[in-house]
Amino acid sequence: MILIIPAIIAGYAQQDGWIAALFGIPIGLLILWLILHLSSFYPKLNLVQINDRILGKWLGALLSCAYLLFFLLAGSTFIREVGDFLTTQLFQSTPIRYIHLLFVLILMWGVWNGIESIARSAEILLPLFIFICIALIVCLIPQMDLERLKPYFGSEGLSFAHATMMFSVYPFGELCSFLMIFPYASKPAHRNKDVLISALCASLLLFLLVFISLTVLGAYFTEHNIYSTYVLTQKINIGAFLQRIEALIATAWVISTFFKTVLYFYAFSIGTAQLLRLSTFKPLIVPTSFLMFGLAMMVAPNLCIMSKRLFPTGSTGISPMALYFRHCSFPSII
Amino acid sequence: MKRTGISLLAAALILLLITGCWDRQEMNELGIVLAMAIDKGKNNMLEVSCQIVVPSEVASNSGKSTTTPVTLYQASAPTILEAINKMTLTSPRNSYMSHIRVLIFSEAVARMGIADELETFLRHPEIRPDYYVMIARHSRASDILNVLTPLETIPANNLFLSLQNSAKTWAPTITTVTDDLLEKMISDGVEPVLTGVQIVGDKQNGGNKDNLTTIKPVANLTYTGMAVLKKDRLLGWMNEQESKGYNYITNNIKSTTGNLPCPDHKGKLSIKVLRSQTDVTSKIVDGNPVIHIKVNNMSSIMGDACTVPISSQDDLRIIEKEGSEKIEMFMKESVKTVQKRFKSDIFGFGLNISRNNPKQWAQLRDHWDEEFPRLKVEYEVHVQLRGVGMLDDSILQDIKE
Amino acid sequence: MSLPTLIVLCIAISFGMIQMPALIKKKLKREAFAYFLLLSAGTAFSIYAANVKPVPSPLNALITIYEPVNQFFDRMFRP
Repeated sequence: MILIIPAIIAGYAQQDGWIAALFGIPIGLLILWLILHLSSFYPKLNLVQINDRILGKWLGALLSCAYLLFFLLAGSTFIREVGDFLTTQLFQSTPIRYIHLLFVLILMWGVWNGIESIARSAEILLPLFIFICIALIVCLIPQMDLERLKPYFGSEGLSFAHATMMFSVYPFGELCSFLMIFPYASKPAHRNKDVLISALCASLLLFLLVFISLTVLGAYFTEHNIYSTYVLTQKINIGAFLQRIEALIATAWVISTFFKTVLYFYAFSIGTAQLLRLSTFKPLIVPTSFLMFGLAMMVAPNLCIMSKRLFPTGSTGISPMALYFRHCSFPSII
Repeated sequence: MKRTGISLLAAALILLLITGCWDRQEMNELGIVLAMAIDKGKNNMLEVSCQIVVPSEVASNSGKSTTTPVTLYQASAPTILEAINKMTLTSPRNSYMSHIRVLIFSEAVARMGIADELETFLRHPEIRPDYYVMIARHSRASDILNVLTPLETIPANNLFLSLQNSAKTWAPTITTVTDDLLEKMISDGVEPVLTGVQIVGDKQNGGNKDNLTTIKPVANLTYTGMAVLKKDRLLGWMNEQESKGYNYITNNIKSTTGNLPCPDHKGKLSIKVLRSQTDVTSKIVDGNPVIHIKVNNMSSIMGDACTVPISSQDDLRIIEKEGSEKIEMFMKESVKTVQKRFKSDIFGFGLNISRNNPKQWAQLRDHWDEEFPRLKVEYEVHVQLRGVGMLDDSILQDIKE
Repeated sequence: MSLPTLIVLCIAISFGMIQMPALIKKKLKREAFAYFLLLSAGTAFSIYAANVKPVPSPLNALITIYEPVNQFFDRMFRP
């Protein structure tokens, strides 16, 4: 996400992308609050079970199928994104299947070890990721040119609104996989607040990246470079010795995408196990990894089509949510 | 037994994952390209020359050197990428282009348009966008790469550092990186500008090691004026004063030196500009755009060949006023030449209007080529003399009659 | 049967050989069935992936389902 979000936002809002991102943050937090609120009604049930509870056996199963399909396809899309990025920038002659294979093996290993070890390793890798992103932003401050942001509010109103919606829906809609793991997380009283604060920090990081990209590269190049954050890293040049550190941002990005994908993998396995009323989900890990490996190649024949298809998959994370809230407000009234 | 079998199988499978990757590039298989030159070849093809470093020559612990530190490979092909790969017909190594320092176009190619070639450079993931672009003047671009330079073993480094330093200390040059160049080509309201480079001295023997055996090299590389482009085609050249004016207007002066006539017009003062800040604003007066350029300049006197005292406040005021007029003259000449001769908005006035007055720009942008020559520009220059160096009045007063 | 297909089949069958009997022995019939189903689907996809043949993407299915929603949003944002 951190790699391609500036390109997406600048594509709709051009030089006002940073304002669109700023407006999109509260809307996105609202979406996250909706998710948390829903889960607080049914504290011990994950998504599939909630569907079952609210909509009954058959309709609930149908909606759960839709969600599981989304988790599977989105997970495969993320794997494909990693593969595409690494083969475009760093490894041009490696066939993409081998990068997918390595990634899927790590995913399998992560899910096999359970959610607790995933969370612990995320805790360890988080400082590294934050350090790299902050270093990127700080090192580019000398090259910022605020004139590139003018004219303020110069983009068309409707595409600006589109950009705001993109920024609020796309990153936050992907958080619907959290609904599958909330029942298994510990429940201190301030859990909702913690999740909202961390989402706020993450979206501020995205906003900063969009801002830096627009001020350093300008609206045109942000829009047309597929991997704008990578191009930003190419421009870092401090004192002629701190330069050419693109591999760092590639590392940070692969780490963040890994955690996103492992959650989707986990959500799919758990969800399928619940849907089919199995006792454990452990046997499903290996078949799911086969599925994801295959689908990662199938989701799009090449990069251009994939980026066009990415937006519909991203927005599916949010559209069922809207349907959803209507259903769960009935029990709350009762 | 079964456990051993499984662990052996697992070990064998893991081996599959660690055998190294497709994209490995051994250091001694790479020919590191440091500079590239693009000329027009026969039959509408591009002739690309690459200056590749010879590692054994530049390694610090090698003893005597028998060959030149860099070598030149050339190839002709319809596009740049083909030419670079075609060089493997002569070169024993694959060209590795991540470390390019300068890219030189010949005038003939520049007049036809350089955007096609630059697009390849931007799209290729191996090429990083921090090299300088320049145009070769009075010679083929590949001849520029064929000159050995003293002080810097690698001529490409010489070109790079020389441009960097001269842009900082001697105003009429500008460092242009591909990103900025393409940004200027793409934005409407501003046109790009490139520095010119030429060979001084004997072109034929520049690449000879004998070039370095005399105290004064037989051939040397030097930067000349700046080239005005429109979109991606070369239109013409600006002289030194006009280039200085351009750099003043676009706020590219970090430090420079100049001279001013003495108050009694009998000698010259050397002035060193310490800092200079230019603000360009655009306003609309009676429906027409007017550009207002304000320069704040802080200088100091570094050489005094006047017999008249200069240490009083009034004298300094007079000198400051003369300095302001001179800078204004640079800028005026530059704008006049570009408006009349080239009609290409290299100063970014259009871009300024588009950023600060977008509504008027929407009306002007379609016929900006006709509007720009008529554009009215106002100047406001403030020179502040900060000091007079180490002496107060000139010692020449007591030497000369 | 090209080499990548063969490799994928071998790996899938070996995984199946290791895990299916264990599941059946523990009398987890539902799990075994689900495992078999998903594994065969996964193997089919992976065989395609290993060979890189063009096949209509399943994302198409998702897009056709959500097309009305996307159209709605698109129309909202177009003047």
